[in-house]
Formats: sequence, structure tokens, C-alpha cells
Amino acid sequence: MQVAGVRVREAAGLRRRGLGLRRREMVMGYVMLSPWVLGFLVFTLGPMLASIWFSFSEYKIVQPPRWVGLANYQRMLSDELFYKSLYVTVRYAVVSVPLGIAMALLVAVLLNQRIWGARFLRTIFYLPSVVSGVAVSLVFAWIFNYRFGILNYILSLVGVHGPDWLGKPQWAPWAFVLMSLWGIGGNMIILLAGLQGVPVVLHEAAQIDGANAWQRFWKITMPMISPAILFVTIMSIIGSFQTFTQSYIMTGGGPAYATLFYLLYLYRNAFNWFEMGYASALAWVLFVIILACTLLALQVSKRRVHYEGG
Amino acid sequence: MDVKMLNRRQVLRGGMGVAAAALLGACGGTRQVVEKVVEKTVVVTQEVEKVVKETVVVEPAKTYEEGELRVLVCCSGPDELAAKEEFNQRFAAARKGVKVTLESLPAGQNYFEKLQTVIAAGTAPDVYDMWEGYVQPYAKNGALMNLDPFLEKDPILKKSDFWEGMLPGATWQGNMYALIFGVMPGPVSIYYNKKLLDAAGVAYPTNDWIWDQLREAALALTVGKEGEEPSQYGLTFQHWFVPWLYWIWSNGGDVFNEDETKCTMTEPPAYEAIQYWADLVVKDRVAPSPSMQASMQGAVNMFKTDLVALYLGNCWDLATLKQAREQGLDWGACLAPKANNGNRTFYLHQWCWGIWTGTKKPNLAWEYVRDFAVDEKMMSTFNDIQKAVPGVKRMLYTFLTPETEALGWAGVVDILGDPKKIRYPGAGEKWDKISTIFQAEIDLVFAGEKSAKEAAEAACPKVEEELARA
Repeated sequence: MQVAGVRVREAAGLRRRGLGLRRREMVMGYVMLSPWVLGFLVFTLGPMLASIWFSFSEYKIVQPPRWVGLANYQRMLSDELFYKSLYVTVRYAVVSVPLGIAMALLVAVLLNQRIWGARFLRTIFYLPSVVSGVAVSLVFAWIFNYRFGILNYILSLVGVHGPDWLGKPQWAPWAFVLMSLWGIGGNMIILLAGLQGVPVVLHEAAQIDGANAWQRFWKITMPMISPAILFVTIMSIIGSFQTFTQSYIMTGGGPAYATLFYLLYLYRNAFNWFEMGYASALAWVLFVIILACTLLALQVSKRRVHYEGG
Repeated sequence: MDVKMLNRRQVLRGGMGVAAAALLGACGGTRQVVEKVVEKTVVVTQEVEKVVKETVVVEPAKTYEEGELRVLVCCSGPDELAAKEEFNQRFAAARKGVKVTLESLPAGQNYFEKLQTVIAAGTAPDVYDMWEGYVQPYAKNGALMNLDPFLEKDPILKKSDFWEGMLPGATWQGNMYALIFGVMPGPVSIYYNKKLLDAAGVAYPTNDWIWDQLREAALALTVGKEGEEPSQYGLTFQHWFVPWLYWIWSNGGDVFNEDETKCTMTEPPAYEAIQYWADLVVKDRVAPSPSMQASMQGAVNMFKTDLVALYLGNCWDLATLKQAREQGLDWGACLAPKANNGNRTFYLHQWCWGIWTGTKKPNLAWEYVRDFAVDEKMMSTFNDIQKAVPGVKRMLYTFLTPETEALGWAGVVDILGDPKKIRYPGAGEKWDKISTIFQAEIDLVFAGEKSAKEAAEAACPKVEEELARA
């Protein structure tokens, strides 16, 4: 009994020490998290909550906000520029996202081959996506220059008279779509990682069964990298709806609102037209739209995306 | 620690000692006060009244608060900043306990976005740069101090000291909210390339030219083959609201009616003015399109590089053109031409000081802005750099130099004195958005996509909606 009692006491002591250790670890974990949590509360959640408040207010920045209820949201319904900017942005997203992902996948497939200098080429393709947006916009303003731009020069070499890319409402949006291909490097890296995760045995087995290269790509590679494709699709949709720098620097939203992206219109309201309240309402509408697109993508993905392990 | 305890014997000895001391102190040494008469010989000198003159420095009653005055400026180059610092030092030296701190934001740094942010944060400077388009919105939203009370009681500066034509840009609801220290019509000049005009045999423009004369000169100065872009354009101008307001107003039109409830761009004097200048680009092809101009890095650059012979430009272009002259560009200037009806009405550019309503030193801030506007050295330097007419009439002599005479700008003085010849569009804080609405349609006119009348008909409903919005 005494031995058992000692053992019971020892076990209890160990449990007490275990709880203490667990608690200490838990506390230490929260302590380590706290800088991020504080930052999130102060710099993200706090401003988000303030923005909700502003969206129901008339707020001219230099004066305190004044509650106006749903007036800002009601105003949106009859605001022509709201619809115009939304149309410009959605059109850009619908074209640039699939095109960008397709190009990124193509480059990733090419770089997945065993070729000399593959690593170097991966770096080269990735580098543009880390260059500052302002610098890229300034350079592309020159590339698209009607008279002296390199793009029109290249087109002239093949007998094509290049259009006024940034000066005509019909061409300016397509200039931005072309420009979006500059940044495929980030998606390319992710898709490349996905491609490299496809088990080789699957391809070998398919080859033995007589599948050709296209069939192997479509039936094996694509399903295996579908999670990566879903990820880059969602991130690209979010990014395309947040296009701002390019139109701010290159065209200012013109010509004739052809490049008036949603975020640029929001910025103008907030900082040029003393309409921070309305701009906050625009921001929350954008949030809802992006959230809806993301949920739609996730819903569609249920049938299309295959995860290993079921 | 060991505490040594006193025994009974020691306590008794100590007590006896204290008692003895008290007894001795009470009994011995008592002083006795004794009255004693003392005879002493005193020599009395004659009393003489002596007038003592003493210089007393009487400090005038302080009219300002002591402490640090913060001043925020935008877009000043190194020369202008140096001049402002020098003025600040003189201003502070003349006032005990005052220090002036100059904060500066270079051009292109979103000055007004930053200003709004610091005002919202409650950390705005005491005095800050204002431009004509921002005075009314900032005044309406309580960010600018009403200067009328200062002007009424100030012995040095009154409202009547300013040019009448410039007051609308600095007032709101009849009160002055910004102190004007510089003003210039816009676009003020036709700059002309003498070499290109001489080569084409075209006479130099004068202050009395009208639009048709300018157009004829531009036609004669345009060099290029049919169906191709000209290698040399006759004329260029910037594509923003300042030039088209000048066109519309000079032609007798306007953007809104007097009470700013109705858009009047659909009336012939307004849209015909836009169409006239658009035809120079689209039909006559004597002026580059906006996108062509942008591809050539702007109107001034085209003029500097001999790609265009005549440039409808602004006073602030002068600095870069003076550098171009040093590099061999031989140019001249005169006032922008009158409309074909003989009228000429300009947009009003203003340089002003605003005083923040939250300042703790309103009187000091007032003295700063006032002294700045009437300081000969500061105004001479500022006008030399910016080529602006001083806001205060009696400082005009700092503007009328041989250089401004040579530019044909002596005539500017007549313009400033007449509110019909220099104007501000109005609509307060809504003007920025309204001008964006107009500009989007006018861009299409200059791209040849629609007529000016169609553009006005498309813009006006949106403008009226904006005007009607509370």
C-alpha cells in the first residue's frame, strides 16, 4: 500500500508538473503570438471596424463623421461611375485571370523539363513579380508609347501599325491585360511546385497503358495540380479586383473612364472628393464581391479539385 | 542583529542627566532687558532733490503668442525654400520667444491627401499652403480660419488691398479664408519659338491676337505630309480644365448658371469653344492629340525640343523655359489670345496661406501670413521664381520687372482688376469631380470620337446630379 501510495503521490505530482508545463507552454505560445495579434487588432481589425462605421456616415476627413444610415449604399445604386468602374474591373478580371493562369501553367510546364539552365530561367521568370508596381507602370507607359514604344516598334517590323494603346478607350483596357502577364512569375512558381509533386509512377503507369502526352497531362497532371490551380485562381481574382497602381500612374482612369478601376474610383472619392464615407461603403461592397467570387470558386472546386488522400 | 538592552541602572542614570540639564537651562543664563539711553552726535546733511533721468524700455503690448509656429508648404524648389527659410528667420528674430519651423512636401507627393490626414489627426501645422480649388472645400469643412476679423482690425492689411478679381478663389460665404500672396491667370501665355516662326515667315504673336490669327499661324507652322503625323506641329496646349475654362469663358459661355444648379455646357458659346480647339487637333491637325502629346512627354517638352512652334502655357513653365533658353532655345511670349469675339477671360490660379482652425497661435499665424504677403524681399524672390502677381496691390512693383514686360505680362494687371476677365468656376468641393466628368467627355472630343455638343449633352446630366447632391 505504501508503495502504491507513493506511486499515487508520484503520479499526482507528475500530473501537476505536466499541467504546469502545458500551461506554461500555452502562455508562452500566446506571448509569442501577441505581437501579431496586437498588430492585427490595431492595424487591421480596428480600421475595418472604423470603416464600417464610416460607410454609414458622411465623412469628409477634415470633419468628424456624421451618421447617415444607408444613404451611401443607396447612392451607389444610381451612381453611373460605380457601375462603370465595376464593369472595367470585372472585365479585366474575367480576361486577365484565366489568361494569366494559362500562361503561368505553360511556363511552369516548360520549366518542369530537364533542361540546362532551368533554375536560372525560373529566377528570371519570377523576378518581375517582385518589382515595385510603380516602377513597372512607368516602364510600361514607355513600352506602350504610341510613337516611340517598343511594342509598336516590334509590330511595325511585321508590318502592323500599332494602336494608340493608352490613348484610345478601345485599346487601353487591353494594354492593362497585356501588362498583367508581366507578373505571372508568382503563380508560375506555385504551379511548378505542384507539377513537381505529381508522382512519376502515375505517368509511367499511364504510358504503359498507352496514354499519349496530352492524355497524361489532362488526365493525370491537371487533376493532381488542381489544388494549386484553385489557390492561384482565388489569389488572382482577389488581386485583379484590387488593381490600382497601374491605372493611377499610367492613365489616371482615362481615356474616358476606360481604365477607371474600382479601387481608383474608391481612392478618388476618399482623397480627392471629400467622400471618405462613400468610399468606405464602396470598400465594403468590394469586399462582398470578392468574398462571393471566392466562395463561388470554392463551390465549383468541390467537383473539380482532387486532393490526395480523399 | 543583537539589540543591546539597557538595564535599569543605565536608564535611571540617563534620566537623571536629562533632568539636570533641563534644570540648569531653566535657571541659569536668563537675559535681563535693561533700557539704556545713548547719546550720539549725528551729522544731518542737506537734503537735495535730485532728478534722476532713467531710460525705461516699454515693451509694446504683445500681439502674438509665443512658441513654435509650424508652416507647411508644397511644391517649392530649393531656391524658393531657401527664400522662405530666410523670411522665417527674419520673422522670428523680430519676435521674442518665437520660432518658425518650415515643413515641405515636394511636388507630386499628394500634398492635399497628406494635409487632409494631418488635419483629421489633429496634428495639422498652424499655417499651410492653399490653392484656389481647395479653399472653399476646406473652409466649408471647418479646416480654415476666417480671416475677416483679422483684416478688419489689422492696421497693415485690409481686404481692399487685394485685387477684386481674385477674391472669389479665397472666399466662402463672403468671408476670406485664405490670404492670397500670389495670383496668375491661366493659361496666361503663348510661348513662341522664334526660329521656327522666322523660318515659316510667320509674324510673332502679340497681346491683341485673336483665336483665328493663332489658328492661321498654326496652319502655316505645321510641317508634315498628308495622312502622316506632322514632324512639326503649329500649336500645342495642355489637356485639363484650365485651358477649356479659358476657351468657354472667353467665348461667352459657362459651365453652370449663376446659382450653380444647371449645367450650361450644352449652350452654343460653351460647346462651340471646345469644338473650335478640338478641330485644331482633329480636323486641321495642327495640334497633337492628348495621347500623342503624352507620348512626347508633354506639351512643354514638345515646345522645348522644337516639335511645336506655339505653346499655350502657364506661368510656372517659365522656369524650365529659361533653362531651355540657356541651352539655345530662342523663344518669346505674349498674353494668350482673345476669343474671336474680342473677349479674354482666364482661370484664376492662386497661391494662398491658410490658417488651421485648430491652431493655438492664431495671432502669430495671422502676423506670419500678413507679413509674408507684404514683405518686399520675399515677394520679389517669389515672383521671380513663380512669376505670379502679388496678391496685395501695393506689392505690384515686385512683379513689374523688365522680364515680365518682355513677356507681355504687364497686361495681366488689367485682367486682375476686372472680375469679368479672371474667374473661378465655383461649385466648391464638387468642382474636382465635376471637372473629371467634363474631362472624360472632352477627351473623346479630342480623340475625334464625338462632337463637343454630344460630349456636353452626355456630361451635363451627370454634372447636374452632382450639383444637386447635398
